[in-house]
Amino acid sequence: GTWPFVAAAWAVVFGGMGAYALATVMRGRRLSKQVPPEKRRWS
Amino acid sequence: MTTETVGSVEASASGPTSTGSRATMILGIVTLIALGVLVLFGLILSPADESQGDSVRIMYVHVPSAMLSYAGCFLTAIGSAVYLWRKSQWWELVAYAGAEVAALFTAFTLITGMLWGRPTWGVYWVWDARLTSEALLMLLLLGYLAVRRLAADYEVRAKRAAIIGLLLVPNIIIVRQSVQWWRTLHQTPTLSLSGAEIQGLMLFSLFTGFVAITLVFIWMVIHRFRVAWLEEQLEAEGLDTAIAERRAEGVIS
Repeated sequence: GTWPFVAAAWAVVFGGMGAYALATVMRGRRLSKQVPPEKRRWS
Repeated sequence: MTTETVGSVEASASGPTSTGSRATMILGIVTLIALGVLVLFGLILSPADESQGDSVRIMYVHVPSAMLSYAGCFLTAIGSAVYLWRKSQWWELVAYAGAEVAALFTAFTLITGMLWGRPTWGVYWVWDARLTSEALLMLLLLGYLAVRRLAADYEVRAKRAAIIGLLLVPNIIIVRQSVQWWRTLHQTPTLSLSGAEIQGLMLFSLFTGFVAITLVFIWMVIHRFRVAWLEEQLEAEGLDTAIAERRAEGVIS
């Protein structure tokens, strides 16, 4: 039936969101160590 | 390094140690719960469609992804307009964050659309007005991101990218209206101001998809904005250090 297509579509969205979220957080942690504390305020 | 909680931000001596904060942590937990509810309703509780069968379940991630890709494009266009008007770096970074997240959701839209098209239309891709204009939107977003990352002064690449950012709005209007203006294989909108084509648990599942994926979008834009802020601070810091070193060497006065 159509379940393989459904599973693939949901896997793409959930996998993509998870991978992007993880990569962004890790990048933020790495950059936070390199930027002086007084320049880390973003608001 | 000692770590303490100051206000809502986990901080070292005087700055956050990651792009996370108490607010984004709460938002993240709520988002994960919403995604769980989406899986429950989208894959288990909602019924199969009479004509499409189970492939209708792709709609619960495809349509929200498309809507959020439009939202990201609008955010980029607004940020770009404010940057060109006021030279606000804050808004320029909002535009940049919005564009990257919009590109991600546009990719989701294209891929899930292809996976929905195969069992429904019999083909993964047709060059009709909706699919072609959506592909052009993806190219425009990739163009924005490429220009924004050029090896040039911040003002130069920000201004050029902002001009591309403004072009996203007419493109979104074309994508959105393409199914009305031309005959397309892609269906007309499932939800519109005149009502919904679906009811009951299917409509609720789609609503759940909108809520969950909107929360993901907000979380992503906040974190990506903070990463972009840190990137620009690091670049400015590097430039300041280089100038200071040159001054110490007596190359420039």
